[in-house]
Amino acid sequence: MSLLKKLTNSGLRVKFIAIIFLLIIANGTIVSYYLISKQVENLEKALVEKGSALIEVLAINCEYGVFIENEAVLKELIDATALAEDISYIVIQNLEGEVLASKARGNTKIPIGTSHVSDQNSLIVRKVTEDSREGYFYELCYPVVTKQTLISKESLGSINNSHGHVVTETIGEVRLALSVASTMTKAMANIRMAMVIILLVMTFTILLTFGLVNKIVRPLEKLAAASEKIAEGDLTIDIEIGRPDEIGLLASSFDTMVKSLLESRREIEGYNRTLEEKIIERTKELENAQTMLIQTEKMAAVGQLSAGVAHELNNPLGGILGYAQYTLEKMNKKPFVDNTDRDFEAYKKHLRDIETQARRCKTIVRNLLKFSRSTAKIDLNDVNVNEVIRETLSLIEHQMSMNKINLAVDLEEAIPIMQANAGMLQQVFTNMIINAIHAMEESGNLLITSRYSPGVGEFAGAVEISFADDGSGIPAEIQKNIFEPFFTTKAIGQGTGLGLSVSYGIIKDHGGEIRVESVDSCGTTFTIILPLENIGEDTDITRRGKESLADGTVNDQETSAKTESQD
Amino acid sequence: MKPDARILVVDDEAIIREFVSEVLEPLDVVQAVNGQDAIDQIPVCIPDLIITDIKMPIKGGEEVVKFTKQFNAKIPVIIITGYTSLDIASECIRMGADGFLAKPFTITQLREEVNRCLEGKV
Repeated sequence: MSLLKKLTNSGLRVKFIAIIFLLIIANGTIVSYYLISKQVENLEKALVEKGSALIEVLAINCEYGVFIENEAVLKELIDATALAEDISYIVIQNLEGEVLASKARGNTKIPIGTSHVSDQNSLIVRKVTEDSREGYFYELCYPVVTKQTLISKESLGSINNSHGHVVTETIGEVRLALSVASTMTKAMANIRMAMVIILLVMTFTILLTFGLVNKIVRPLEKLAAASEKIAEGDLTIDIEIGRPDEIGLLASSFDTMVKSLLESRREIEGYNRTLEEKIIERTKELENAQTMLIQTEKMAAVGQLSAGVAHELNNPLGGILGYAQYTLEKMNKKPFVDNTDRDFEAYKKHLRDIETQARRCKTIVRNLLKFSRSTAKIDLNDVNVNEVIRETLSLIEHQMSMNKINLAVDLEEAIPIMQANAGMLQQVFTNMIINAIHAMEESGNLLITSRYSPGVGEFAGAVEISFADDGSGIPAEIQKNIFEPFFTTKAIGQGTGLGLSVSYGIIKDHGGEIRVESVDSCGTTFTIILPLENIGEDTDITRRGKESLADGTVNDQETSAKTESQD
Repeated sequence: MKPDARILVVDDEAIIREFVSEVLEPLDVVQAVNGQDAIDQIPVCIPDLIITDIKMPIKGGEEVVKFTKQFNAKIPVIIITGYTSLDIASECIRMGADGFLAKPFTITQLREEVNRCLEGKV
C-alpha cells in the first residue's frame, strides 16, 4: 500500500519504468509458463504415443508366449522392446495377474496388480504418481488377445472352413511404464535455452525502455525545471532540445512563451520606472505647491499684521525723527563752543534714545522678515517654544490691542527645549492669534499658555500650547471642517481659508496634533501638542531637519519680549 | 505759542511723551500713560490742550476725546497715531478732536498743530 502510494507520488520516470518493468516481467512469465507447459505436454504426448505403438506391437507379438505361458519366449520379446531408455519396466501377465515375464530398468520396483484391461480390450493410459520419489510416470496397459476359429460339427472335415466362427479372447495383458524423467531432462535443456532467450529479450526490452523513457522524460524534466525557475522569477533560461517531434515543438513553444513573457516583464518594468519617475516628479511638484501654499498663507498673515507692525514701527520712528530734528535744531541755535556740559548731556541722552528706538525698529523689521522668510528650506533646531510665542506676540500684540483684546500670557518657564522649526511654529501661533482676534471682533480676552506634560494621549512627553479666547466660538456642525483647505467663515478678503489647514500640516509634520474645544458664543480653545520625542522618523521635517542641522541658524538673543499681561 | 499754556500728553510710549514734552518747552507739559490716566488727570490739572495717542491699553484716545468734550468742549484735542489706517482717526475727529498728527511727525508739524489749536482756542 505504501509502495503504491510512493509510486503515485514519484516522478514520471519512476512511474514509467516501474509500469513497463512490471508489464515486461508479467508478459515474460506468462509466455514462459505457456511455452514450458505446452512443451511438456507435447513431449508427454509423444512419449505416450511412442509407448502405445510399442505396447501394441508387443501385445500382438507375445500372444503365443502368453498362450503357452512360456517365460523364455516372452523374455526375449521384452528384452528386444525394453531397449528404449525411457521405458521403466515391462510386465507381461496372465489374466489372473500372474507375471509371466518382466523387466525393469535399474532397481525400479514393479507394482503388482492388474489393470483389468481385459474388460475393455483397448489401451489404458494411467498417470501414476510415485510416493517415494518426486515425479510421475505413465503406465500403459494393453490386452493380449488370441483369436480362435470355432468350426461347427457340420462343417468339420470340409475343405473350406471359411464358414468357421472367429472368437477373440483376452488371455493376458502387457503393462509398460514410461519414465517422464528422462524425457523431461531432455526437455529441460530446451526450456533452459528458451528461458535464457526470454530473459535476454526482457533485459533488452527493459534497457530499451530505460532509453525510451529517458528520451521522453528528460526533456520533460528540463521543461519542469525551467517552469520552476520561471515561477521563481528567472526568465533568462533557454530551453534547447533540438528535436523535431512533439516534445521539441512543446519546448520551442515554451521557449517562445518565456521570451514573450520576458519581453512583457521588461516592458512592465519600463512602465514602472516611468511611473516611479512620474511619481517622484509629481511629489516634488506637490511639495513645491505645498511650500508655496504655506508661503501664500504666511504672506496673507503678514498682510493682516501690517497695520499692527506699522504702528509698532511708527512709535519708535516718531521718537527717532523727533529727537533727531530737535537735537539738530538745538545745536543750530548757538555756536558749538557756547554749548554747556548740560547741553551736551542732553544731546547724548537724545542720541541714546535715537539709538534705542532705532534698535527697536531693527528688531521689529527683522522679526517681520524672519516671519516672512520662505520655509522652503525647513530647518529643525533647538527651540524654546516660549521664545517663539514671545516673538509672535511682538509682531501681533498691537493688532490685539487695536482690537481691544486683553491678552494674558501664562508661560511655564521650565518647558524643555525641543527640536522644531521656529519659523513654522510662529506661523501656526500667528494664525491661532489672528483667528482669535477675528472671533472676538470688538473686544475680548485671549489667554495664551504653555506647559510641559509628561504624557498627553499617545505622546510620552509633550509641550502643550493653548490659545483660549472668549469669542464667538465655532458652531458644532462646522468643527469637523475647520482644518479643511479653503474652508472659511470669514468674509471675502478677510481670510484665505488655508490658515488652519496649513497649521494642521505644520503640526502634523512635527509629529503633533491640534485639538479644538469650542462652545458656540462662549469661546474657543485651540491646543497644540508638540511631542518632545516622537517626531515621526519619516516626516519631511525630520529628514530635512537632520540634513540642515549642521548649519543651524543663529539664535536670536535680541528678541523683544513683551509678555506682561495687560489686565 | 501761549507761554503759560498747560498741555496734557497722553501716550503709552514713553519716548513719544518725553519727546513731545521737550519739544514743547517751555510750556507746562503734563504726562499721562493711558486714557484712564488722562481722564483721571484732566479734572485736576485742567489742561489748555490735550495731545493723545489712540491705541493705548485700558482706555484709548476715543475715550479721552469723548471725556474731554463732555468735561469742557473748549479744550482742544490733537490726535497722534501710528496707524496708517485713518478709520479710528476720522472717528475721533467726528467725535470732536481738533487736530491730527500721524506718527512719525516732525517737530515743525507738532509745533504748528499745537499753535493752531491754542490760537484757535484763544
